[in-house]
Amino acid sequence: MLDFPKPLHQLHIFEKDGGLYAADLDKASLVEISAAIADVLKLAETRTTEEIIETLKTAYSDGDIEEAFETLIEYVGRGLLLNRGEKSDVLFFKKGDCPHFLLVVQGLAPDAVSDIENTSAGTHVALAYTIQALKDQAVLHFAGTQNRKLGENFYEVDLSLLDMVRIPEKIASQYEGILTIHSDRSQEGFIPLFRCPELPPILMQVHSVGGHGGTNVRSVLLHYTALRDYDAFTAPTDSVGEFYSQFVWDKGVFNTVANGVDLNLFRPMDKQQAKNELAKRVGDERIKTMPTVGYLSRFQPEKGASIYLKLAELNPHLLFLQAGQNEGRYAQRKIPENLIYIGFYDREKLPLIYNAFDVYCFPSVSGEETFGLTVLEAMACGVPPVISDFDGVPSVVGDAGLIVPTVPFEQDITSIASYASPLDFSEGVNLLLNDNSLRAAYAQKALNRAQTFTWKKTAQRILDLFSELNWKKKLFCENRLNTFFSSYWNTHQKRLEQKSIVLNMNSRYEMLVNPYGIFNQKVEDGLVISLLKEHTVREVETILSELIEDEDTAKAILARCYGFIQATA
Amino acid sequence: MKVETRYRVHQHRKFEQSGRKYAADLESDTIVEINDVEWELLDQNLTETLYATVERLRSKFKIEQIFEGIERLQRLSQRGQLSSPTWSTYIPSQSDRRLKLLVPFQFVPEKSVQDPVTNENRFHLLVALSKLAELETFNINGEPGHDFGGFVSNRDIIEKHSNFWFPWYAMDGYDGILLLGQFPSHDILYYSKNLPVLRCLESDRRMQALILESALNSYTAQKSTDLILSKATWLTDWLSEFGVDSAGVHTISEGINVVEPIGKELAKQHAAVLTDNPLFAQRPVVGIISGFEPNAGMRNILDIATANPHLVFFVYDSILADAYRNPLSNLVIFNASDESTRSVLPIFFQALDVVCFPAVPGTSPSLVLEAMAYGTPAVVISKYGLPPEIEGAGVLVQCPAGKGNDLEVPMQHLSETINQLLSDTERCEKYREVAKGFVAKYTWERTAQEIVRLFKQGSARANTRCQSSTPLSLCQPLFCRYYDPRTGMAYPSVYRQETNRFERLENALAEVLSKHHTPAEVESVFKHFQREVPLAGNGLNRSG
Repeated sequence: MLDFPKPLHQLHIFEKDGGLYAADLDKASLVEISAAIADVLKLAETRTTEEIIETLKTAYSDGDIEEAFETLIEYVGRGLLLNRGEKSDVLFFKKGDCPHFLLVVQGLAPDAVSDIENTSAGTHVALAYTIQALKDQAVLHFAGTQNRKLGENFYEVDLSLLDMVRIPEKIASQYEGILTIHSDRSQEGFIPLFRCPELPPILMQVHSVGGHGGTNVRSVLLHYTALRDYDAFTAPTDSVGEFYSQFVWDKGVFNTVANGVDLNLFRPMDKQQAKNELAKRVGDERIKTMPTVGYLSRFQPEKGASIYLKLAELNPHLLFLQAGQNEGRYAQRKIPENLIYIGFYDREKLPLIYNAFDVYCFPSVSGEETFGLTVLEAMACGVPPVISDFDGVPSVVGDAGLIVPTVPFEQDITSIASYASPLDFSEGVNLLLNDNSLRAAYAQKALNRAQTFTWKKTAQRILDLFSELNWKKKLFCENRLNTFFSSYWNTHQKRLEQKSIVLNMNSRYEMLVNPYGIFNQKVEDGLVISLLKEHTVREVETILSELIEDEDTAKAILARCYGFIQATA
Repeated sequence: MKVETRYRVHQHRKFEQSGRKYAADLESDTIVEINDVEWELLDQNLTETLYATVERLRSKFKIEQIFEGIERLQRLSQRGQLSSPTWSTYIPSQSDRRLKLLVPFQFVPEKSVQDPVTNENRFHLLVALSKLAELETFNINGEPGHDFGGFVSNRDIIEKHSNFWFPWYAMDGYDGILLLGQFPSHDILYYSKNLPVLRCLESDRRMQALILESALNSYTAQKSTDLILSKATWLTDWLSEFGVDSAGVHTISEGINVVEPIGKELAKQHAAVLTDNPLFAQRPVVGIISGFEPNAGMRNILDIATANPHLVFFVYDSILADAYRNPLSNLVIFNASDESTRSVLPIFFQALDVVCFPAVPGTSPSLVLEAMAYGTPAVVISKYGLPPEIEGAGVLVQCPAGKGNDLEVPMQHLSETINQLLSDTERCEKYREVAKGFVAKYTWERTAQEIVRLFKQGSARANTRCQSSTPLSLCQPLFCRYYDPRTGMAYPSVYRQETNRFERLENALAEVLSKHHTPAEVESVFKHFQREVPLAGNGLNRSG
């Protein structure tokens, strides 16, 4: 049963051809209603449920009233007619110069998205920190299922993907941009948004590259072609753009926006103190006295768990600590005695864990380590890392750690995309642990480097990108050119060949340039100009890559035709 | 170019609230905020033509606003909101009233390029046509109007505040468009997508390259209501060598202009005086209406004249007449380059005993028929067979097949045929009688009537047509690369969101091109890239 009074959406109720309708202007939706529902809506904002029922009883049967409420519940469940949460126009009235952005994240509740404390997955942690930093300079609205305030400059709004496609102009008037995260859970993801030219610029974060049977790569390539001229991808490191540049022409749409690290939380502590504390928590005195190697991740093969196990077997003189989720995959294996599981900890405890490591080991082979947030966190705590030379992590570490040679697979096998030898890891680990001054030097380098990665910088980069994209949107010109294809007789070759003609009249019947000029072109040019009327530059890129063997020629054609469209718009 | 898509407006209700305007679509259950222009557009349920819409609204709104409103409604239609594209196309219905035809024509520049015979014929055609239909041409922005003696009226177009091009003004108020212009301004590509367009092809020798280009463009752009008008069956046959299907071409012979005959003997004597060559009065006279390529023509003509010293040859060739200065004694090359020379041409025609002509694009069909109409049998040099126009009045010299403008003339066979015909008086007489009938058969009235009939037929065909030649696409394709993890490579492909499937790129490419281009254009693109057109039945639909 609905709990009245409730704020309503902006509604317009009307009668047409014997039917009664409610036009929900907030949701750009129309529903057919009964007279009883109309009467409920009249009283919805000022009366309680009981008062409304009492009032209705004078005109309707119990059955009609029940049916009216049932229908209303169904409509409200679809987000229609009644505000879910606060009244939207009071909550979201846009004022001042503070930019507003819409955050669209599939598969995550808004509370979870900003809950830094209780989230563990790297991408979610990064998102939470990014939001926190963005809120200092902008107002964020999370597209969800109700209207409410989540925090300072952070709101949830009752807005679905379908709503956005229905009211794109309204979205554009409210928001300077849309921030999304790519997910390969649904192949088509956000394609419907990219098909609305009215929507503001969209920045899509891309986080992982390999694995999952290629579905992720396939999905990113799909979104790549759907990007409008004023949309872009972001990725935490250059490795993503580098990876996709083997397939696509325009690597420039991949913008590196590095993650940051919370330097207030992750900082060096007294190492012995940290070890003592951890030993007490875990109940293993060896932590206090033995050199420790750390691993903080899910303990599974993709994350290098097998390599870590062998590393422990190779080095009985070292103590290997494993923190994080342990799903028990190795429960039936004989675990070396010098490898101990130290538990799963809240974020606020992680600095203690990192500081208890003498060296941080990151042997992930999954093809999904675009950044390696735990590596940066360990570095911020002054712990030198030993990592596999794969994905984006080496660009985070730079020369502040040891990078172990890794064999990348030409094709993924299941979720594994590379392999690093435990022997090589062992060499790196022992190098650092056997030389105190070397280890100290790397620790300092790691700390210095980590301090250059801040969430404030991340947020600023995002804002700068949106600013650039909004300029691109202002400059975007619609293609109204008309082209025509025909054959002609090549008198030299004595055969029929094909040509295209750029007509001197556009789709608005306006004369373009010289009224008596003839613009005969190659078929390729006419094809590109024709396709760019309703397809993106990147879709046309795909088509040309199929039809024209020489990539440089194809790129030149695309650039020329695109420039021509801009010049004549 | 495609015929314009029409739209059916959904059941809707417009209303205003809090100072904003909306339209509630009762069929898609959506609400769309609209502006003042869109409000007005929906008032008419999108039943007006584009021209009528803009003309009605331009007093209230800027033209750019009007087009933005129209385009927004079209975009919304693609999302299933407020309207849906229909299967049928809009063609204005026709009553029994006189047709109003637009004849856009750059008369002055074309007149200066074409020869007097062509210009004269055009004049006769327009005069005859003006008796059956209202003819109108454009006069843009105060340019000096052309005086057509009142049978073609000028429509003054003064556009100070917009940048519309000619075709805009063809959008409304006409029943059809007759294109006479031969300059490659690609006008057929622009003109009204909803009206029948007939394009006349000339046989003027100086414009043969343009004729072919025009024909190929026109053919590719044709709707089922359109036709190319050819003046001779051999011109139609020639076009078919370049892929122009005869279904898209209609042959209409022009009218012929004959004077009161003076008799063959007197004509020969006059011809002898006019050419200062007594042989005209002494020997059989063979006429050649030449449309040969000039160098080949010169060789052919010299060969035949040399091989037949007992004959006199009167050659009508507008190029060789100026270029060739030392003819043989039994050869005269003539061109009607002005009124004076045109006026004596009938005398020469009456002096002919036989007229020969190559069935090539450069040969003037009207001069052939005119020469024959004085009772002259013909010898046709052709690779296409005996032209139906002269059936019963001539014989064929068959040439080997070959592509393009080349014509390999079997000179000996030609020579023999001419001499045989000259000596076969019985056959000649039969042919003469048939040829004399051309006066009544090939008239300007008949040509004009046929043109009007074709316009009416075109409109009727369009009105009964209920389905466009290309089905509308329901699942919009997204061209993308498909990544195959087994190979680590990405391949161009197409994704359909509605079915979550990847497909062959070529199918979708043909589909998206078909939205804005005719099947013949799509075929042209695929031919260029040496790919098969994937859609079934993608030839130009002529059955209409």
